[in-house]
Amino acid sequence: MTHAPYFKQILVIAAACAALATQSAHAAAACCEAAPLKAEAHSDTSLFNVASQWQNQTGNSAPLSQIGDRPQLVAMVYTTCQFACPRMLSDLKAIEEAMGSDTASDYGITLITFDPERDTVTAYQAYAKKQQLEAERWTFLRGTASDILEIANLLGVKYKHLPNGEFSHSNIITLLNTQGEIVTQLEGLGADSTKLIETTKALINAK
Amino acid sequence: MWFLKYGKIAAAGCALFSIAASSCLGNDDMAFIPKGEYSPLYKSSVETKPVAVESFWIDVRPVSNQDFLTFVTANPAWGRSKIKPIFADASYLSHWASDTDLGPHAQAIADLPVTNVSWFAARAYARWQDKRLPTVSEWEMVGIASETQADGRKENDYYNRILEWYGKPNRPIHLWESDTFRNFHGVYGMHGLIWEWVDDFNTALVTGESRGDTDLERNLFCGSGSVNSSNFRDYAAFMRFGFRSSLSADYAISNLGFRCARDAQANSQ
Repeated sequence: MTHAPYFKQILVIAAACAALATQSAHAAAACCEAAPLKAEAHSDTSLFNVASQWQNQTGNSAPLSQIGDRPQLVAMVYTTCQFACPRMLSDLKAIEEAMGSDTASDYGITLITFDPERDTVTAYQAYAKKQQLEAERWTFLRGTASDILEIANLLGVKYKHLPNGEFSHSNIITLLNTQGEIVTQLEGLGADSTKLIETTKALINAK
Repeated sequence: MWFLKYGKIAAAGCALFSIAASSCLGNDDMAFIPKGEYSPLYKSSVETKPVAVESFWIDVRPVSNQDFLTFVTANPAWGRSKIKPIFADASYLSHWASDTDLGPHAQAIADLPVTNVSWFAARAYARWQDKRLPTVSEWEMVGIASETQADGRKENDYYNRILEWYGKPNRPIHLWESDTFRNFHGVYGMHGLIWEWVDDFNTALVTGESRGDTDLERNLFCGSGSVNSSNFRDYAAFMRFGFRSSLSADYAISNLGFRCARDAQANSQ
């Protein structure tokens, strides 16, 4: 090895350092100016305290409180999942059926994706059509990978992005009230949902 | 990739440059970690190959009480009296005297790693610094370095020293020694002082104890049925793995702190 390329590398790196130093100074300024305290006050245990923005199936982005118009059954899935998620979805559909038509518009079901790269709004719309998920009932939410990790931790969901593109994940259905507080959770696939359904109905009737 | 080859030179180049500019990439107190590979301790059936880890920067030391005080002062919502309980349990900053008072041992603990901080709070601090938490892979890749080589696991002493620490009871924070060993990358205190949060601590899909891995649990998880350890000798890594999988993001624990990382992607282009 000659000295010339060696020296060149240092120069390139020095230049990159200088460029980046400027860049990160800008980023720091942007970060600190934009650290607004939320005007909207949520309860101490509300998941709506997260500052993240969530894109729904209409393509619009809004804070998580966008699902606070009615109680929600929340599950984390990804639409290309071949294993657990179809079972999770059929569990949710069974709950929807058991809830009956008298509670038609009084609660919603929210699917938060693990996979924001592949689960675009368009991909979800195709999925919803195939699975016959009514837009009035079912909400799709998509966030950044970092915000998805945060919401997963708040819901107690563990997951891992595997090298083959799939996700290992725990299967949990969470009932959120309109304040964004966790009322109850159902863990596992094919679990007995009797109590969850009772609690959801009680929550609707208590309104 | 030239980058792998010149990783060390990049670090040296930046060090030289920083003398002139007094700042290199704005990463004054960070060490450059060249890209490499990490073999996860547990491998699922689809994770048989080592994970490629891109080059990144990591804090040379864990975030200190003083650092965190500066953060809380600038962001009062993260003070211990103001924090929302979903973001930290009741132990959050419990070793301080108040939101902005480090307490009777203030001088002794100011430069020591902050502990009793939740994952949410650690992430908020990192974001405020325009940084992020390291991933498990990144942390472990730095953690396996001894004083003299990037992979210290070849040295018998490496395991013994870490295990010796794991076997010691915790000492009160103000009695900690500030400088534990400085590793090959110039990073201090990866072992010997505190456990550290990583961004993706919740990816360990086994329960805290083996008796918990019942059929019910297997039903709870997807794709985690077959896990195999890649290195039965690395008890220390087992312990970290077990510790992480027992955490919940709101936990604030007296020997759990954190350090920050930053992407180095812009360098490799």
